[in-house]
Amino acid sequence: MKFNDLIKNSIVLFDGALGTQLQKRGLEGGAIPERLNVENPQLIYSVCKEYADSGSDVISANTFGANRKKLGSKEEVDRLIKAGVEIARKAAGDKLVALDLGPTGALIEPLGSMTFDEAYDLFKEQVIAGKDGADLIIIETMSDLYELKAALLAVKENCDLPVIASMTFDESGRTFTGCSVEAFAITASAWADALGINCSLGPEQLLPIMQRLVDNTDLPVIIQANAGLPDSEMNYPVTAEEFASLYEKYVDMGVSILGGCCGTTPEYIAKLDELRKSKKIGKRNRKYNTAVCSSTKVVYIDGVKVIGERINPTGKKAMKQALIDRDFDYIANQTIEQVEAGAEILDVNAGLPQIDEKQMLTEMVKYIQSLTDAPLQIDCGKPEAIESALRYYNGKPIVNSVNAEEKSLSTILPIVAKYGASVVGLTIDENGIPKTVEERIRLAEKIIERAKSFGIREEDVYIDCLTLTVSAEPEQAVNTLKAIEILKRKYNIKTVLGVSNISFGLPARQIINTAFLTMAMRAGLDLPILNPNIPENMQAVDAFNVLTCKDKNCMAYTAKYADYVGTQIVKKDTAKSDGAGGEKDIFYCIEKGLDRASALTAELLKTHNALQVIDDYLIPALNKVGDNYEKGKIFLPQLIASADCAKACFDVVKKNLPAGTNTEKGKIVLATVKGDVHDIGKNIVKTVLENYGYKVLDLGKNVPPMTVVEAVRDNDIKLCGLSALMTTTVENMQETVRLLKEHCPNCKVMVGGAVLTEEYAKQIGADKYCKDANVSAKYASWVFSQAEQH
Amino acid sequence: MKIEKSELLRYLGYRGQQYGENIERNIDLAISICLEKITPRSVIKKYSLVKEPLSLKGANMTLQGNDIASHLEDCNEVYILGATVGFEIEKTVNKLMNENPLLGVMVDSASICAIESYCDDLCEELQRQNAKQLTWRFSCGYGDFPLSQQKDFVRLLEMQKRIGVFINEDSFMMTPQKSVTAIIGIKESAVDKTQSRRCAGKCENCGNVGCAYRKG
Repeated sequence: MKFNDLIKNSIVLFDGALGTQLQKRGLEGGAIPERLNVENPQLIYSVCKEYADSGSDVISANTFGANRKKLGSKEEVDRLIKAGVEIARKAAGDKLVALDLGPTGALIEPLGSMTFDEAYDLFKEQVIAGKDGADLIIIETMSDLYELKAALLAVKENCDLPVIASMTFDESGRTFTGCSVEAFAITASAWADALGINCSLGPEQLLPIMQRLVDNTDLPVIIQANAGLPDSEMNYPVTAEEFASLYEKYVDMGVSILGGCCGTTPEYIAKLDELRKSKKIGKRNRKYNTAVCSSTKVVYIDGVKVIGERINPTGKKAMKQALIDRDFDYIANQTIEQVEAGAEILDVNAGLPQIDEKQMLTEMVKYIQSLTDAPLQIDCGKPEAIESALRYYNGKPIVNSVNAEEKSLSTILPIVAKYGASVVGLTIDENGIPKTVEERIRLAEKIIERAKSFGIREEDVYIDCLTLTVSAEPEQAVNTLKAIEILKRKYNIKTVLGVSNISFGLPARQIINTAFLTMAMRAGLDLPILNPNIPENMQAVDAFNVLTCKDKNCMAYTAKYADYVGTQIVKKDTAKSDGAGGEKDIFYCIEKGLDRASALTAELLKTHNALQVIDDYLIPALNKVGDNYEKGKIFLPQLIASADCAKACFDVVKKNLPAGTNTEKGKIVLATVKGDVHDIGKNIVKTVLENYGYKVLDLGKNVPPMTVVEAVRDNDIKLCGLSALMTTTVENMQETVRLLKEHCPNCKVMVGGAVLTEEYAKQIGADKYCKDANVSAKYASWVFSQAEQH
Repeated sequence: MKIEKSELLRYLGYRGQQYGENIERNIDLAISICLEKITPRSVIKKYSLVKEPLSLKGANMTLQGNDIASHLEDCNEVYILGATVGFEIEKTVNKLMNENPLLGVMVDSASICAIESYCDDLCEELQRQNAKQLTWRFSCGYGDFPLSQQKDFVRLLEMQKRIGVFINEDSFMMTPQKSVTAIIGIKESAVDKTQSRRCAGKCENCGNVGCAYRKG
């Protein structure tokens, strides 16, 4: 019998723990259990056989950790997995065999140093080694959604076997890496045939988490709990009877696949076998239907949710420049700002003729998802670029967009379906923008039908009825709204609309935008794409939520607008006044890190020109702070507070400079070397250098030596700072310095980090050892003044 | 678990400087953010010691270096401990370093206090359950106990599966960063009520006398 037939109507029984059984039989702690597949096959066979005899329908092969990372070579992976599957096959008899895949043991970027593709390759080798003897695959004990995605893609792209995906959660319903059970359900449903929860806790603690899982998926569900948490001598507290009796509630909930994890034995499985004979599977009732998510945050589309439009170069000069310069800090600011302003989803667009869109879009998606919890909308019309971005997205995103043209539907929808995304459908085709409501409906229907034919659910199609410029085509605004109304009544779709186009060519555009936005929400718009930094936009949404009872008891509204004055929310000034005059106390304010320094800077600008303010006030103030730090008069937080404060002052000055004036004191590359995945020290240095007016190209952490060299070479950099935290990664620092000296002899290299010393720095060929951020700033000042003299 | 202000400041290199209300306010905020974002988890296993060579019985783990040997001199058994305050606090610090670096360094420092205090609590609890005297906790990288042995702890305690701690196989760096592995000896002598299990002795016993973070 095939697994997919088996789970249709009956309760399916998996096996229990293998590791626990092996330890009982004397396996040494920490030895690699998969080696026993060839060293002591009889032992493995006996455990598998016991499970088969105690009632299991599915026997898991002893292949959990058999990946190249742990075993050392692909050949060994192949050998141990084939042997493991063969043993399980022999023990299973007429029962089914599952190829068992566990986590790689390494962390994927940005948490760790493994790439997504490396993880994919590890799983792919396992799948290819084990697919022939197995009836299904179970991926279990996963704690990183991204790694699970790599594993699931490796399965789907390399075999036809059904696959179960199971993750491990703590009491809060999150994995160790922060993935919520809802995000898991919503994301993994795209690829898995069944979803589940295993390990970490006992059946009692996992029950509420299982409820949250079944609320978010229609797929069959598996539970494999631990026999509780073990004590320091590895005794598990939950007995077989208790275990089985707790499992009753799971079956009532609609969980149809049962098994055990750590601490369970054939005795537990036998009890579950008894249980299943007396129980009927409870009816399932999915509670939530439409959602997008990152790995840590789910956004249910059950009301108006704002999509932030700012990460898009179209018509935005600064963003355009940022993409050309690869200025990721600018993108970071846009990301943080929009989320703070209330955007729940962020649109990401990299469409510029002079850059490689596929590569840039993918890079941006990876970068932005490392910064924010907000789910993303991938805004692109090129199938190749969309696919690449989708592949590396960690969660369930929106693809923006397809249109009703055959070429668009047939190339983009299959990709959307493959990666389980939601999709925006534009009601436009080869004949252009429709003029009537009916035509819009017809095109929407075409898109919905075609999406369904690729297996995309209606709920995952978001129709865009198009905003046209009202000054040019006065009737179309109403047509757009009517079409939204009709579609929302007829279908289970959601609607999306870019709002601001409506007012193009008119004065006081925001007045029209706000009114149109309000009308559209009333008509049934779920997902307005807009600039959340414009207060009126968010105000319209906030008011709409109050007036439609989405904001219960006006709680959110009241909390947000309690301090509303005039047209904006006024932040209370927390800085204390010291009563001193302007000129005297800008030094004081910067020294003390007081917010009032920027107001004083504005004052100074009335009587001094910008460069005077910088040279006569800000820089001397910062230098004094640096001296104080060096002498131990202030400590690190005070240095940072002052630097932060000075930055706000620099920003005020810059606003007053004529366009094109260059105040940048120099460009510096910073990186934490290969192997080091912790970079707080480097980030402190970055903050301080930036606040001194340097432009910092931050390459991040775990940076390969050649990447540093390329950045230095391509940007003609005069100073590069490297940090290393551990004795073990100083080697990589040495290699980076060596390559820098070879390829970019004019670039000075400063180094720092917990394990470095003056002497060590000299030994590895660095130009300067910087014991702290302050020394780095001083050295930078010296390097760039030298450069000027030459 | 307790986050002491004085400890938090010590990790930031505080040497009695005067600081203003803005720093003070951020310290309190950092402590509350830290307490909200940490997810302390631990795993402890008991092992018998084998003396020649010094190793854990049935564990494929030899304990290298003279310092660990003298630390466990009167012990026949040990606990090994793995503990972490989790990913969430680390992500929070990374995010803050972008948005508000002053608060970022303070929350980072608070999270060091949190993991240290958590380990102290775990050790005190172990002592309460034991009639025999326990040694203070000894970690990889202390004295000549090599950092590379971190790998053995992670493996034996199944730290990845049980508490979500990963190790970089080349640098032996753990992620989340605020994670600790340690070994605690069980002495043959009865409990000495005058001794604390907190890590007060750690600085006194450390050879790095010039250390910026040394207590006292």
